[in-house]
Amino acid sequence: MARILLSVMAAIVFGINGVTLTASDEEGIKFAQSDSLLAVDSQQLLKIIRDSKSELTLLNFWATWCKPCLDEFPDIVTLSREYKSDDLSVIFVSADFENNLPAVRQFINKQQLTYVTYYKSESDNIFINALNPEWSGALPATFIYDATGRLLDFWVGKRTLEELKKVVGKYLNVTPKL
Amino acid sequence: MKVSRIMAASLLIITLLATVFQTTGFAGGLKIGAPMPAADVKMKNINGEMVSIDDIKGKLGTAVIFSCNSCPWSVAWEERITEIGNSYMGKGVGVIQINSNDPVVNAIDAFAGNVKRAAKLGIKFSFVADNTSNVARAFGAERTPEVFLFNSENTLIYHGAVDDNAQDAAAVKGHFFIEALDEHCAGKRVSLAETKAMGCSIKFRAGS
Repeated sequence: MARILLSVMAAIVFGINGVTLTASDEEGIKFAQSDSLLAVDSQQLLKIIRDSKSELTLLNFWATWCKPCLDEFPDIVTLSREYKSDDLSVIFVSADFENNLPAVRQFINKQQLTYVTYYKSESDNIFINALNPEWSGALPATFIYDATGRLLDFWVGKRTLEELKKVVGKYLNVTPKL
Repeated sequence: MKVSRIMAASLLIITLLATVFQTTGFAGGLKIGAPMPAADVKMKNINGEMVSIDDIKGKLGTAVIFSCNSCPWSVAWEERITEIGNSYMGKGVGVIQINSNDPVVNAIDAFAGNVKRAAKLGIKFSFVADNTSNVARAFGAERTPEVFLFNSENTLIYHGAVDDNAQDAAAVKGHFFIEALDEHCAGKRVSLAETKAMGCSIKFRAGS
């Protein structure tokens, strides 16, 4: 009850629509509306992944100017809705430039997300190497982590919903809970 | 005895495979020290001539930049790439920009788009169309822009980003490409040989 009241108060005070917050504020507004967009650096992101309560975390890097990213985004959203949060968490991180954040918000609002999303706020060279030295920086890029934050899988390029389900199913070894 | 022979054979196979693939770095890209691939492949230059990387090699080395006309990251860096390329081609470094994107994905990446872009930017170096995307494949290039700098012996000495800030040229702290060029031209080893940057994935044509 206290958490709900806190999040409502935070929503009123910060006016979630269009306000950019840092990831360190995330705890206080964990249940904020889906159009919250938080700046995140690599260490903050890796901590968020490690702190996830889900068996698997899928991390997807995208950008509004990346057509394959936009093509697969709705499928990843669908995927996130087909699993219980205990099984799968999905984290989206936009690589858009800061002056393009309005377009980012517009797009994610259309997807009707029910969870916080992020945009990268750190130099590419540091960020990419921290996430995976094998990653060239090309988008879209997707990472799968286990419950301890260990990287299980990684790929560049878009995947269909069926392909995503197959990968997640392999690591979870369960069928989706509708 | 039989088991140890199987293990020895397995180790040999693993070693051979590692040797075959040792020229590729992250995600299949060339590793520092790798030889230049596809150096003799002719590609159509903005002036209509067919040009290979070999044709434009510089006395001190060669810079190969995979870029395109459609990716916002390429567009963000294109003025800087033009300035660097125009400057260093006069210092003994051959410079070539390669567009390997399939124009079916975005018509602006067709040859005519290269010509128009080059004119707008004042590009003086070669800007070619990789019409099969196979040169990008040979390099293991994955994104645009992506820079490969080779020495005079066609050995890779720098691979990665133009600099550390696509969004704001005035805020750049790490001038990675320029620093690699300056160190190499001064006869020094490139101190930061590999860097990363985000960018659009190369829109490869179907394999041929």
